[in-house]
Amino acid sequence: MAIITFAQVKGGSGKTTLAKCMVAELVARGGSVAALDLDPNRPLARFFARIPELGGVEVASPDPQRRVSMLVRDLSARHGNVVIDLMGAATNDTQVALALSDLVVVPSQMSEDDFRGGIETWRQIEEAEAVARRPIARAVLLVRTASGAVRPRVEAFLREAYTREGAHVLTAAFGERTVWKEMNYAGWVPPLHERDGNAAANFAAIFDELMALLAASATRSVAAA
Amino acid sequence: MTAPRRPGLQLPRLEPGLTAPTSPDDPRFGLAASLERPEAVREAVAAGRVRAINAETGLELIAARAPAPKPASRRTAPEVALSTKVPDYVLRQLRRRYAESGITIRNQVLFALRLAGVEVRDEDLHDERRRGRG
Repeated sequence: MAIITFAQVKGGSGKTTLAKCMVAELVARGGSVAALDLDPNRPLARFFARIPELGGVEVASPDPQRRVSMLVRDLSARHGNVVIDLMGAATNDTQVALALSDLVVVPSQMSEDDFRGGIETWRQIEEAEAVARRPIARAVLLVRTASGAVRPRVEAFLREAYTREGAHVLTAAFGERTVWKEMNYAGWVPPLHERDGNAAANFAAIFDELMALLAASATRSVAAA
Repeated sequence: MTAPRRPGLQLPRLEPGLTAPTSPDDPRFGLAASLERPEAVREAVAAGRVRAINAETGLELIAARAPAPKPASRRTAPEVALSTKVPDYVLRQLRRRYAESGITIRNQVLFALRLAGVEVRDEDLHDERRRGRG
């Protein structure tokens, strides 16, 4: 089981793109997955409807009668994985989604605003973990990094800054690539359609690292029980 | 020979334990539901953890803070301003009566005019300034 949330209180950090990739990766690996779209613009359902391989992915959205906790309870009883895409702000949904999650991914670009938002989100996850009294696997994922071999010094600076604040940063980073921008227009999703390409390999590396974190967290959870 | 545009999907081995659904009885759902209660959200707002309310999931919070809709006017005609001068002792009496009875100076004048034979409809004697105070 895995309830995976993409959270960052600052908007425009890449949550939705990563949520799309995560669902595509899980589908490509034969996993059972549903999604909860908490962005009122509803980008997930629109995107999945365009991709034949993702057309069958169930996407739920809340309304006054169907609360987030209710929807996730229902989805996670029927699917092995639930991917939650939050709105880019510290909303009332944020703390609910965090309390439900097994794994939280905090995307962060290189800006100071992203860093501030990333740390605030990290603190909220820590608080959710303390309240829930169970481990919540979590990681900061640097996004829109340079895809080439040369790493800008701000990336290393930011990794160190996050680490100093106690946040774990994934070794893999989500590289800046045109294919992620074209994904919606072309209906061409690297994790599904071009698994031997660099973009798919990039996301697969992120996925593998996240799954290792999740497995370690599950082990801690069993040991604590 | 050209390569196929869409390579066939690969099915790598899934991580064990990641495919089972989550039990609906898991305690996390009770905790999440408690965080959705209006008082929990208000507390989170006060603590600074929540700075925006999603209208789709926090409608009752927004609705509770919205001002009550203004009741439709029951008056039969638009109001116009009337300004005149009266002896100061008359105004003092009108003010004293307002303090004692709560009947506004406007309504005291309208009552008096009606007694003097001027048409003043009941609906127009309703003083809307006093609405919502009590």
